[in-house]
Amino acid sequence: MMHQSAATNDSKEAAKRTPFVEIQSVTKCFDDFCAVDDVNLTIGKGELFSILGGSGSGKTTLLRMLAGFERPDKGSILIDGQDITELPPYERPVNMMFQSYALFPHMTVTQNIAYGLKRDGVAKDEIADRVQAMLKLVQLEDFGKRKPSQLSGGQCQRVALARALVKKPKVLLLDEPTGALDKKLREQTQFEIANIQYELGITFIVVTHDQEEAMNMSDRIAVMNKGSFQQVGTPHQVYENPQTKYVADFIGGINLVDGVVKEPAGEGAWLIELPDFDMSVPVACAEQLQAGQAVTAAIRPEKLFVSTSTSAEPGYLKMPGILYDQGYFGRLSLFKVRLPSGHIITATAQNRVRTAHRAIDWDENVHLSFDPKSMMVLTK
Amino acid sequence: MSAAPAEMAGTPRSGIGSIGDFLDRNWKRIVVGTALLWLTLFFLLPFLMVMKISLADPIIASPPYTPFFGAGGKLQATLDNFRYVLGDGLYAYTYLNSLKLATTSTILCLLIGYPMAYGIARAKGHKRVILLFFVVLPFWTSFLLRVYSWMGLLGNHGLINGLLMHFGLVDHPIKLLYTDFAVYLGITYSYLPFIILPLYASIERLGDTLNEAAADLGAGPVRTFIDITLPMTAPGILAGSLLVFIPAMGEYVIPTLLGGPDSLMIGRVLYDEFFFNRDWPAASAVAVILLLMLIAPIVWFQHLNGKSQEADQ
Repeated sequence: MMHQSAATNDSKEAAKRTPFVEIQSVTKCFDDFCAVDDVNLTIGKGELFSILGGSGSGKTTLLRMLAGFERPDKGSILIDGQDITELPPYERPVNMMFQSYALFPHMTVTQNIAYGLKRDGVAKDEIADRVQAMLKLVQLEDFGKRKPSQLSGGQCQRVALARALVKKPKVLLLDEPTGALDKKLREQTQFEIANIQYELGITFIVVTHDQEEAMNMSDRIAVMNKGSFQQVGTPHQVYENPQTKYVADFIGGINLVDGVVKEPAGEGAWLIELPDFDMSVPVACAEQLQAGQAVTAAIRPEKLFVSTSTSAEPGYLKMPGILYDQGYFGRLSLFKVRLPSGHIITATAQNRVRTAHRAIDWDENVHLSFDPKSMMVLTK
Repeated sequence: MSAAPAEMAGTPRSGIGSIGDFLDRNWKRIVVGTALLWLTLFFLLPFLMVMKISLADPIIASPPYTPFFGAGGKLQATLDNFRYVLGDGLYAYTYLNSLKLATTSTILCLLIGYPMAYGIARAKGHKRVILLFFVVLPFWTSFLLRVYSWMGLLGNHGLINGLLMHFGLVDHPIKLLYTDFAVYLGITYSYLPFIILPLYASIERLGDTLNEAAADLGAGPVRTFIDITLPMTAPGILAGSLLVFIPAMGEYVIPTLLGGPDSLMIGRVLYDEFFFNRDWPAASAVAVILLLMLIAPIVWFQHLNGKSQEADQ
């Protein structure tokens, strides 16, 4: 997400690099199934951090341990240097925005937001001021007297955010914060949440299965699968440099093709033979590879170009194919191309000009081209 | 035959079709109408008859009251029975006694039933089914039999006194049976399932998330219970309380079998008035006043329910 670049300052960036939330060797098992398996993670102060994973990945269990609803079997959790592993939820400097929002239906919006402050014994006048400030922040000034049942889904979402933020927690946990909203509102809300986070400087930990949500909002993302982290990095790193096949495929979809390392191709690059593509491609890889090693080559659909003509950008590799299937999404078109080897590869293209018909017909002969620099090698 | 499907569209609807259509269009009216008919036949009409008797004079005849319309169609209605029942301190005392007993039993049922319902609602999987089964299980034996069993347990030579004396805790049997204590015990015991089931339903529906949200915002377990669980389960508390309070108010069997001569309850007075004194008009007046007393909490409950449903919309 683009922050107001002028306001970016160095001290904030430095804070993000100092450990604030420390998850140390945390394990949580239910019966014989380990939802979270020896997880280590350090999150900086003021970071907007996302834990991204499918259902059953353990992300929700990890969040519930941060909130205090589950106790780890092993390991410890520290926030701002304080060990909170054994603290009950009501004594933690942490607040949570629930996926279902969990607004108290028998209380008004104002009472909902004030609830946490009342429990802390904050003075009445101060409660009124802080609740008012929160209502203003989430643009619900006129809705204070309503009950949750009289609000729309988007309004409930903002009340839940205000209720969790009003106590100025050290860490705010957000469980699928925009999951219940429709697509258009979701994108807008993601921007709003990121802006509020930037303004308040509170550390946000978001749990989500929606990769767009994670990419759009986060400073960093941890991709979680089967109870442990596959990769932790910036959205850009995770997308352009996935370290495992799971991450590559989970984030954005990718074409995976089997290959064999042929020989070094200079400057940390190797020549990879791809039988399905009927070609050898020089691919950069930070890992040390061995000749003859079986690897997986990967390339994103949007980095493959489909054309009916044989011409291509200079330096691009080309291969012929037949258009096997296609989908039209308005903004994008998706092409499935069958290579002579029988391998089917997916490419997407932006529909940059208005056309009356589909540019390419089913079963038409096409040419695929790509920049070899767009290809990567995965060994895990 | 072969041409039938083609003709169907053009021909008028068959008899069966129009009955189906009638059901389709009117099923709501039929469902509501059935309930209405039932209540009219078996509640409203009998009540009007009781009402009518309560306005008559007792006579020695069969039936033992003056007809509503006398000779020449003259209306014979009197409020004497109501004046008599309301004016006699014994009736007033009995009403108050019933009220006290029903209220106390309801509170006892709530205090015992709520934790039980809470425990069942929080139990996992088939443990919950088994616990619910145990709650309902007493209904499989006759109500009368269960009250008789209490007589066996509470009597001077009953199990409880026997055990107390056996262990030397008391020299003489304690008088348990034929006391108000026995009546409270009997009513609380008998009506407990009626309060557990609605409480269970409302606690189970509440789920964990709201409690977790309260804990997250800084509320300890007690605070969470007072602020969230209690108000959210209020409809269950009210419904369960009424299910105990209303029948307890008119309870006849338990005070008769377990209570002493001085545990006067309205159900017993009504019975005596009806069968021993054969004063049907007075008995009817007692019943009508009891009903009016019970209507007040029901109307109040409906009012609250209506309000909370309004708020939900």
